[in-house]
Amino acid sequence: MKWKGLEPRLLFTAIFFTVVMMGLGARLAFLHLWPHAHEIKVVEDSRDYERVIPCQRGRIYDCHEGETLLALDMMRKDVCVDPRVVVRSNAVEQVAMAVSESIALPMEDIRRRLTQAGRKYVRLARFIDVAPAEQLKKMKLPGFFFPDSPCRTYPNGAVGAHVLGFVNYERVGVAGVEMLLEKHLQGTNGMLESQKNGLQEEMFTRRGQYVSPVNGCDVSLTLDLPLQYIVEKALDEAMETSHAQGAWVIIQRVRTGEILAMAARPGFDPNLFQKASPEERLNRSIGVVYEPGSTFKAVAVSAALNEGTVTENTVFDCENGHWLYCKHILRDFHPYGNLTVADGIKKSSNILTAKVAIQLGPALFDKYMRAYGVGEKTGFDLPGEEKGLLMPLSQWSGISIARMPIGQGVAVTALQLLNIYSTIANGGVRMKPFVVKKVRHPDGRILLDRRPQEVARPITPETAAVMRRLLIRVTEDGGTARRARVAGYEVAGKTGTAQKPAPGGYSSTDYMATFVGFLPARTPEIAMVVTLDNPQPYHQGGVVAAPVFAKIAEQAMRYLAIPPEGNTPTSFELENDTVLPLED
Amino acid sequence: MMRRNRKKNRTAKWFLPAGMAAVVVAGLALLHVWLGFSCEALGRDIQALEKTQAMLEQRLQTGEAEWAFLRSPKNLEAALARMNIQMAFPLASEIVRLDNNDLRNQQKGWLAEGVSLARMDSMR
Repeated sequence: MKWKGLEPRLLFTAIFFTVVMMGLGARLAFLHLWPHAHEIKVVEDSRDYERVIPCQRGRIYDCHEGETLLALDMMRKDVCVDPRVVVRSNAVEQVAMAVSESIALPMEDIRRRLTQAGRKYVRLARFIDVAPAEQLKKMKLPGFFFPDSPCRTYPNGAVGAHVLGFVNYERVGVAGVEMLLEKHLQGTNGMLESQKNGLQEEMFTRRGQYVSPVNGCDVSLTLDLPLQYIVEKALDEAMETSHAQGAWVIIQRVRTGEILAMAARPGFDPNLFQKASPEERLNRSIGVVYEPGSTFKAVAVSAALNEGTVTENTVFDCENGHWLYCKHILRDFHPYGNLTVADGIKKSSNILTAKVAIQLGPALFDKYMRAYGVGEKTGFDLPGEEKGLLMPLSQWSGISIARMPIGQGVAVTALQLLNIYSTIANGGVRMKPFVVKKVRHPDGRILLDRRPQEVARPITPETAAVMRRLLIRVTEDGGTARRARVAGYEVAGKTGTAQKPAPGGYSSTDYMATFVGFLPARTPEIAMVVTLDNPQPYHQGGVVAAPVFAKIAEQAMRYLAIPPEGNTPTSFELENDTVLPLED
Repeated sequence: MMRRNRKKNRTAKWFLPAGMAAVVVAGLALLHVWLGFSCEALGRDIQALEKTQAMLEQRLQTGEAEWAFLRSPKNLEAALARMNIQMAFPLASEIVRLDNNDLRNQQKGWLAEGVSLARMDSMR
């Protein structure tokens, strides 16, 4: 009796459900057996899964290949969000607070960006550590996702920044070695084509194409990190004590042309490249041209010695410090009478050097300058090298032959200047400077293995030996560079104090102070140039640049395990030597 | 009676092979399903291993970066200062340089004194 009224209803319901199920079954059967093309496409599109597998950019090592890393990739995370989802969840405040605590961003800023409801994608932070990203992920914040983001890392911070350069947000090298070797360093991303299930997970059995990533090539440089650090530290101290606007140092291995250290101030940290100004990014060692001043006298004297127009003992009248030539007066800082060429170099006499060059003649002097590489790029690896300024011989004025030998009316980069002295140190053989030593493919193939390359032989080994002798005397008693001396080693070199060009002539307050030299002087291993831009209050190369040279050279000799020589000043003698060097 | 018995015999004749075929088909079907599941399981394992590999590579990268940072001259210098360790290069007078001739002469001296080679090694 109880079922009496229910029976038709049950029957109706059963029939209804049966019909519905049959309909669904029929639809399912049709979808499976005779699907339409557009239906197949919709399904496949929703299942398609494509992922780019990022490659690692090649690593950069110093000269200790495989040991000392200068640049490498680190996997980090970006914090991204779909603001529409956050706004819909009505939890903007809570989300902003949680994110602010985790990744130390101002809450106001996060709130503002989370409420940009018109946007589908906002990147709140980039390159954050994996740990805080995982912490945020566990909170399951609405609309948040954390894509992998490989980040270029420079473990030594600002050390070697101008050589290494940096990589921008698009992971493209835009300065230094990173830019130079972009093609080799960048690598090739991999790719995965597959299908995903309803849980948005990749189905391995439906995996279609897999192309593994190819990492970028590893690069070894000639830089020596500890030496580079010594240089950078000395530069920082020099900037502080001399109040200079800028400073730069290069150390080169004389026999090979390898650059062991190259640093400039102001500098920057490539990890924070976006905060660096163009001024800070400029590699002044190769990107600034300046008049070399007295350091250029070595070119004129070595050319004259090589041509045999003078010997080291040839005597010139230095006109008591004032000499009228082509209606222009040329002065020496201290008045001298007769001086030999050797003493003229030691005391940095402008008049003697001008007379030596005049005796040599403009054509030959021009020939030697070009043979030393003045006025042309050295062919150094890094981008941004300037070629300097050297007028064609036809455009020289009458006074040029008296001014250019003393480093006026001609401009060089620090690298060009260093190369001149390296040539003298290397027995007259000019080597091509280089900083990239080796490029190694991830599969072990060596794509580039740089060997020392000879460029020219401007002077004979005999002339080079005489020049070395003359330049040693510059750092001896009575020379202009006594502060460049290093205990246990003979130092050869030359100071330079060049007035900076100003409208209508030369500035009387702004100078470039330089010391360039090499050691051990008899069997040279390294050459170094130190330049300070507008140091104050002292501006002489012998006072401000030479001590920086000595400080770096002393540590460099010990670090490179170069044994001391005999007949050289002891550290006690140097510490008690308080006499200021002569001006030049 | 006779006819019915023949029919029974005929049924018995095809029932066995059909049953066996059904069992084989069912077995094959089960095998197919099992293989499918095995592939899925292997796929999951491979994916898990891929994730592990990626994670380990990441850890390696992080470790290498940290190691490079720890070894950076600036950091070493700071660590030395923190621990109040002051290091200086030895003076020229404090360095003893040995060359191969010195070592050979030393060995000859030891041999002359009757020192065994093993002892020489330990002394070296």
